[in-house]
Amino acid sequence: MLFNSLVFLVFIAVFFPLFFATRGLVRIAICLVASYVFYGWWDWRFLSLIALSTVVDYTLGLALDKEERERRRKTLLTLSIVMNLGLLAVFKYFNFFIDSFQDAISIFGITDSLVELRIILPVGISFYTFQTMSYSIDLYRRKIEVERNFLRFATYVAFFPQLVAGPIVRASHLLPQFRRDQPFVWNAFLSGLGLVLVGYFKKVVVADSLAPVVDTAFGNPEAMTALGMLIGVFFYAFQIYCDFSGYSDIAIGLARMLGYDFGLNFRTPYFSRSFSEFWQRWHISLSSWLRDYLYISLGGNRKGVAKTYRNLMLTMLLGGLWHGASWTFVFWGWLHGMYLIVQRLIGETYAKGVERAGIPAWIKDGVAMLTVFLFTCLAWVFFRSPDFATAMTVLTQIGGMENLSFAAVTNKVLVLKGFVLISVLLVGEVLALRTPMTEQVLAQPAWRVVGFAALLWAIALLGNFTGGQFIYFQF
Amino acid sequence: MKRLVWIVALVGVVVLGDRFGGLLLERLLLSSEFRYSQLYEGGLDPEVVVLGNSRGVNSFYVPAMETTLDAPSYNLSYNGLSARMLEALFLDYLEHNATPRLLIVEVTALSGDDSQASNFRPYMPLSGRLGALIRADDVRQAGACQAVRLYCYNSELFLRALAYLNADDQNWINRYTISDQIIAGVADLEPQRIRLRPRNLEALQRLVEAAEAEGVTVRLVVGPYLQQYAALLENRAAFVEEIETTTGLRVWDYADAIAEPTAFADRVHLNRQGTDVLLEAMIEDGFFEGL
Repeated sequence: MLFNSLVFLVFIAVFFPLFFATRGLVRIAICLVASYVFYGWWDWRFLSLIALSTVVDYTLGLALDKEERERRRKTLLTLSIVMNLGLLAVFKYFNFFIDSFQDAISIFGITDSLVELRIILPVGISFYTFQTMSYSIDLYRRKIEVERNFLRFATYVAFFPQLVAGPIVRASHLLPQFRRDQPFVWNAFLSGLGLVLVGYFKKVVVADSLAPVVDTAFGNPEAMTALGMLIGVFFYAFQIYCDFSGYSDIAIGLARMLGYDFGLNFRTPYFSRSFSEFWQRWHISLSSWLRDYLYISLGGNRKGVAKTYRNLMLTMLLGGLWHGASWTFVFWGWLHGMYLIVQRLIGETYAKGVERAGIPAWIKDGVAMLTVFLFTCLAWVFFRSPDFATAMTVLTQIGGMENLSFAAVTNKVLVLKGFVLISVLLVGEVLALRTPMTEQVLAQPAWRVVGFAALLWAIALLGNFTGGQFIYFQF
Repeated sequence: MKRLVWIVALVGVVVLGDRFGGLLLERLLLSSEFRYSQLYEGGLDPEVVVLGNSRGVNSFYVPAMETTLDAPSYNLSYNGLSARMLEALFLDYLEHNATPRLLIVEVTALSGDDSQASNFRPYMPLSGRLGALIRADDVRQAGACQAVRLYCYNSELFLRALAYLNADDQNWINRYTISDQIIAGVADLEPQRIRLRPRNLEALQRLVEAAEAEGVTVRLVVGPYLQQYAALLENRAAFVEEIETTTGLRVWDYADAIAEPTAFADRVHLNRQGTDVLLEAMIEDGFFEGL
């Protein structure tokens, strides 16, 4: 079920009254059933995978809690990780591994076709497997209490607002909230509703308006002028941001309306002044997951400079692979790994140089933001392209600088609309950065009416209602 | 109680804003110089009117026609229009504007479906005929348009109308030239067929009858294609013949009339230079005789 579909509105209209009319485990059971209906609407067969992941991690969790012997505990944790990564390996990466192996052996002249299964990627598998892994790892590290109630644990794994595209909410954060009845709080409900509307605005107005321009550019880069291609890449940076952060806003907003807190997943990432700051602002739930369960487990920055760089690179490479079974995603991760390493190498010298030169802070920050944004866009080229050949064509078209005339750009009306929407978004983000002001304004009932109405009008007037999929569903 | 007041206020503001905003946008739409805004605002008085799809847009360049023919002209063509839409638009045109002497119809619009209809949502409150086509094409869109007035203006056509708020849209035409790569690519294409949709043929017949009943001379045309591409249109003769049989009118077939590739923007559309070549050929053939 898509958040931007009519059936979801019906689903919500049924679910909300049931949720608030019940208490305790009945409420939790309603959440679980609703979550399974929500997921099963796409393909009920894959509910078995969620159920499997739930049963295995629940059982291993109970065993982990009881077990005191370190070796046995490690074995139980390994079992949980192997099962979750195994699901990912089979359903997400099987053909990628086979294709890559086939490409490798073809160098030696072996071109026989290996077994190939066309497996459908179950929506959300990367999210819920990471979520359940965090539960097992935190239990192993004795950071959280075991969840003995199966219904509650199953709801934690499958809770519909964040099931298919995150945010990845850790057990330590969400399970305690399921253990007590969240009361209906009017202000929280309205605040959540506001966030849902902002999310819909980002998705159906901004992201889906940019999508046709991006699709045209990346669909046939050979036919694009340099300016047209540049606009395509620039628009993609905002399309993916609005698509994904829009989804996150809807998910977080829905949870807030129900009384649950999911935390933040995006914090105006394109205003970052360094790549490390970018990763503290972009897909926060994934980057913090990778930091806590991978980077730090590998040793983080505690084992010398060389190992710090190795750990950074490994984390970013796996972060890239998490997004999709393709070498272009791995390369995207590699680029970001390189950005982080280069920043560590030259960052301090650069900062001292800037300070010595007495460059005003606003120029320094502006240049830093622009630099981070441009290099992020370069990485997005590989993220968006289906293969390296397409990515290289995109970069060649831009690098050729042939025909920078706006007159030769196709879809001019949509391009102009896109620029206007991006400007509106950026103005909104600048205002949001001044959080106290925005919150104070929206706390006034009259301003809230104006704000909500303006969002609804904008969605009606500018939204795209053709049911565009969320980009992160494919991950 | 306070909450109830807040909810009522929100609903009230949203609904009132939607209706008021709709009215404002309608005024804005009608003040545009975009072709359909002008059509529904009324008061147009050209001698020649052109109807068609994107091939109609790019085959007839109004400023050149007016200079050469010394006759006020107006092009009502738009990308992706079907003959059913041409019929609705022309009948609306007759209701709001002066009757022209000559109507030119580029007939490859007979191959189009009505999917472009929903893009005409901004004009739905102004035209029952367009409303019926939009409803037939997508009943949910039509319903949403009636429930939420602002949604009517959620259309590429409205953005175009905004773009032509203070600019004449009759000089809108392709101004680039087809690339050698695209010309070479034609050799790899399979033979093509021009689809003739029976509903469109019926609509064209009704359109011709309505125009002639008002004393308008109707000329049917197939605009030029890149010659190599025109050679691939295997059912062109049959397409033309069926239209001629049904309407009883001659179809002036210029599909392969222009040899210079530089007259084209792509395989199926002329460019600015090409429209001059076509106009010259049409004058030589006596197409405009009696005007």
